[in-house]
Amino acid sequence: MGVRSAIILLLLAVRGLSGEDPRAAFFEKEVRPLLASKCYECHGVGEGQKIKGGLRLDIRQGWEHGGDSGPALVKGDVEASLLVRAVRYADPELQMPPKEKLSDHEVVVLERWIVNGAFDPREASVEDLREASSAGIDYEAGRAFWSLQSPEDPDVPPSADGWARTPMDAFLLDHWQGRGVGPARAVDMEVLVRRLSDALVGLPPSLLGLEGVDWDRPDARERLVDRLLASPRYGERWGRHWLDVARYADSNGMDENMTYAEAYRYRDYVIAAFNADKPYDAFVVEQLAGDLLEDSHMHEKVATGFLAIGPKMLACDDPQKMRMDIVDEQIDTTGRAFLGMTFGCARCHDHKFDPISAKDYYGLAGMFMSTKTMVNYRVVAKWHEYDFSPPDVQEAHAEMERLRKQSTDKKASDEARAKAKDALAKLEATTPPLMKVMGITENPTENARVHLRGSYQTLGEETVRQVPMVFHRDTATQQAAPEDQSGRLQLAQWIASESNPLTARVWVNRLWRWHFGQGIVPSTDNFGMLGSAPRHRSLLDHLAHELTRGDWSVKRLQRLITTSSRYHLASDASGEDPNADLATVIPNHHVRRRLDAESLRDALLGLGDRLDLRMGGQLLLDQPGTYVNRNRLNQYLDIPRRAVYMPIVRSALYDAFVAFDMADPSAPEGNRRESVVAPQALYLMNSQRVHDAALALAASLPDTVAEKKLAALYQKALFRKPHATERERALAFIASHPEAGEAWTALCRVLLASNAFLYLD
Amino acid sequence: MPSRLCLHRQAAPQSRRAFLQQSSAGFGALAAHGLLSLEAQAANPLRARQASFAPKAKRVIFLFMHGGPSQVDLFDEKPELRRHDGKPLPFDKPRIVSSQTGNLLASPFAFQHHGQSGAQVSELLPHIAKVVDDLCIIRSIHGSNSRHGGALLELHTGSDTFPRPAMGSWIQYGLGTQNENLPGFLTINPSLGHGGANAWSSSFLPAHYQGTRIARDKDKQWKIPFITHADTQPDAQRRELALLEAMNRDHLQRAGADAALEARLASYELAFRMQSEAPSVQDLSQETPATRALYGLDDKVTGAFAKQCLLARRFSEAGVRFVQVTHGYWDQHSNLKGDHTRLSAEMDRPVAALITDLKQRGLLEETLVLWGGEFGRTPVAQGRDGRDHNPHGFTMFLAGGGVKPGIQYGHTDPFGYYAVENRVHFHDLHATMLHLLGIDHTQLTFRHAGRDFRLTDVYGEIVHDIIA
Repeated sequence: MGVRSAIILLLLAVRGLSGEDPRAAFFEKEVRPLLASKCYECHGVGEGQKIKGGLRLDIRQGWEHGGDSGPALVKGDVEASLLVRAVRYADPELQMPPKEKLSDHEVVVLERWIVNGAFDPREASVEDLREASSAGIDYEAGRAFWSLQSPEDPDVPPSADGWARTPMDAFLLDHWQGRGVGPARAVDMEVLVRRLSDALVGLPPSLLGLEGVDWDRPDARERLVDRLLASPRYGERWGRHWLDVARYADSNGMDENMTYAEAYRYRDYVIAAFNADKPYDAFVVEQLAGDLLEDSHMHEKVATGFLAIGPKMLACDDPQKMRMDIVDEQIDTTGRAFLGMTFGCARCHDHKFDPISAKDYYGLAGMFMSTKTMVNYRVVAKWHEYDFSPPDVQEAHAEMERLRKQSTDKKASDEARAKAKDALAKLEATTPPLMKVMGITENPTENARVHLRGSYQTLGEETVRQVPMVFHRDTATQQAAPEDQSGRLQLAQWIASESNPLTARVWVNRLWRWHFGQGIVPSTDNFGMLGSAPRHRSLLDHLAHELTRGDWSVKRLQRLITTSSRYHLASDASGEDPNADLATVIPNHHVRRRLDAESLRDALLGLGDRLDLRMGGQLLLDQPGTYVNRNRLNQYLDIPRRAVYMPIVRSALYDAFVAFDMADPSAPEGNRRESVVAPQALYLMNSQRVHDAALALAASLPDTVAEKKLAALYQKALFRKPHATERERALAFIASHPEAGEAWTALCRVLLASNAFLYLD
Repeated sequence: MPSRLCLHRQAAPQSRRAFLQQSSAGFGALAAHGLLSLEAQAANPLRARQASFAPKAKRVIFLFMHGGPSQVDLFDEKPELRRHDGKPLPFDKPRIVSSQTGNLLASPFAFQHHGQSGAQVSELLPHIAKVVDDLCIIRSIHGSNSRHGGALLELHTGSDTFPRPAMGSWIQYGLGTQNENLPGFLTINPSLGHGGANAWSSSFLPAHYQGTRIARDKDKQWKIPFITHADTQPDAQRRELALLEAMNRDHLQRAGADAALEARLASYELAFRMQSEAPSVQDLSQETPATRALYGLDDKVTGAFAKQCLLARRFSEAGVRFVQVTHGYWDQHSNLKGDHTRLSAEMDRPVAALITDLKQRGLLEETLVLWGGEFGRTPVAQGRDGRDHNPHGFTMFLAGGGVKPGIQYGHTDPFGYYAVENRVHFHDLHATMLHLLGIDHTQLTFRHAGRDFRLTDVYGEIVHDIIA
């Protein structure tokens, strides 16, 4: 209003300034002081100063060349000049100066300067013009980084003393002997059985029907390992590990917390994949591009749920921002989950540490932009689903939709509405639900342009859909995605190839982490420069080769690990150097592990004989297309199924699970913490569910003399006999308890809260 | 001092050495939750980095007004808006809006100058008007997101896209707790909507910094989760805990030195102390009739929120570092006049009482009080009696904790749409809050997923003008 008309007035009132070039006088009197006082601070070169947005306003070439967003102004064209847009403050995303708007007069000065051709006598010096921007990324140096070089297949160190049962042991022995320590002693069978049972199936051994097993057979361990690996419980245990990495949840969890009613199919796919020992390379390809495989059926489409189930801001008034945020989440998750690479860091600028440029990032972004994850970006946005229902069911649902409309149609007669209602009720009663699958598919292809500072409003150069440069040996081997394909399939195949330097390493490192509590590379999700160095590179590389030698069989590797001599070491640190830095060396003993949130819950139910071992399916009570109901958590906790099947409602997780370090499903997590905090103690002391577990456990014990009952309790809960002091204390507690009827329940409660139960030696 | 970027390396989470290496300033907190011996504290190289300057505030109470209260109806009087009621906005609306809006809508409420500072406050807030000389009213707050979920996340965590640690978690991580018998970060009656737990999640910070949600149990009592068990007699529990401790000591002896096992023994002691202390902190019957009346505790309109504010004061007084209470739902797309009147009546007296009460007890100086919503509202109408979300310029206020009392800072344009003078983004607010607590927001970092994260990301400028 006022501003605009004032400009016109001022522009009309062009006054000559005496004596000199009026444009020069205007610049010196009005423009230069204004730029100097309001802009140079961020857009000029001063001591120790950083140029904001790449734009200099202290030299003419500065604005001519422009900053990250392009030339700052167009001579003679006020409306096309970014500078004017910024100082007018009409665009909330481009407001300069950022702290305080210029006065109307000052804005008019700048507009007038531009209208009159933006005369600017300020010449740049040679130094000014020297390319200030960084020299870019040194890919050659990047390729020399350890994790980006192909793993060697190292020779197995010779090992004389017979301790080493597997090559893995020989590498470790060599590692320890180099530090002057030998392996800790081996554990007793009872400890090993409990350890293996939790590690491979996540349940106490007393629930596995192992009575009658002959533990004295020489091959008893191998037989137990095979038995556990063949149990369907194995997939539930190891599927859960992968679901941490896949940031699995049954709801969106951000602002609009929508039900992911079909996500459970992906969860069940993961569990089945582990049980079937699906080769890891196929597992990778299916999750990233299952929809693009020849012979792609429902199973493979379900697998692509990996890319679909991430948290999303489904209500965002800016659809382009929403789209790019979803793409970003996919790039970040894919990079960290399979490659241990933090590609997400390169969204706004070149990665500060790893050889990944913003251009590389947008090369990947093009692939995911050419992938259909969402069908729209409205508020509330809707994601893509496949429909695998038989045609008649689809038709019935279409008919139901029509009847639903008709039954509420105000224009129709009462009679017609009632009729429609009747028909609808009949159809609803007989029609099965639609068989939908949450998964991605292809979009028309497009290349992404670099988003300067991560914003789609400041676009840079166009990029090619391809894997990041550092992974190409040289520019000659660069291969862009086919014009008519997103490139996702090629990306997946490249990740899953034996020649990828990261994939096998990252995966065997994850397995190691989940068995031993710390990865060979401690930073499981970051194999970049800021990640940890491998504590034993030859061991890591050897295992990576073992994986590919075994055609990516995961169970084969599990068997190697769990039947090794290493696996049988006692949790006994007495023979280890107390000053050993476990961030750089692998200890010579087992490290005691706490039951994780799921193992704890399953054991609490199982020990009271209340665990329902049915597999799979949907436990979420919310209908597709609705908001998830956060008030049902207690209801879900009452379902006695294994924890892996309990619905995970993002942003409303189970208090007790969170207290015991359940992975936050908002991002990939390959390295759960194992914390010791007071809320865990409060839970074990005061939770009704622990009380119920104690009650059920006590009730399940044989009705016999105290000593025998105690032995049964220990056998069930800890798979061993009580030690002498434990027996004495427990029997004394029972004998002196004021209420005999409560005594065993109380003892069970104490045992379930004890370190002997919570920790696995 | 070495650059923070190369100071630490990522390592295993369960190793406390590794944890310290990952952290830049969480040392005090780690010490406070009992995982470190005193010797280890003394030997820690990070210790000196913690307090580079003296804190003005020791703790925070955040009065979160969920939904987005309207600045032009509460604190930001705009004569131009009244004058041009019903006319079109004379400049562009934002490129991104959440709903279609119409022409300018004058506030239906009258404003008056109050106190020595002469701040204009709406007739809806007669009690807060009486304490304006204690407030630092910032009328130029702005955020980046026009939807509840994104805006709420940004206000609480600094990010409007992905879950990050909440500010209460960062503050606890930086400063630890002042009373280890209580959680260091409490949120009373938070909304479960619009991202729910994301607003009090420690995200990638260790779980210890997680906010503890106090919700009403089935007996309608506000409770820390699992703080007591209804059927357990204290005697019986003591007996069980004695046996548990003996068994854990036996176990530890058999196991040999193990920090986690030792820490768990300590965690039971701590849990028992929490269980003993928390109920008395929550016991409002200890308050005098005068205090109850001040807050409006027994009043039907103000009672519910009064209880939360009083609990906040009691927790804060007991040493809880960050207490949040939530009031709402201030989202008046329609029925602005009626609902803003009702909500103000619920909120006004308890909030003013909290300020007065803290002041009387000498606590205000070291307690930073923050009041505000995830965004404000548009000066243009939605329907006939509603306003849309507006993150571009709105009002929040601070009190105590080292901010200048009785000032108004920043301006919106003449209609109250955009912040135009002394603009304060959420990032700037966060930077300033951390500064007041004695923390340099650029130094409070945690390494995660390939980089060092901060509450303020790569942004944030301290608003020195409002610091006393």
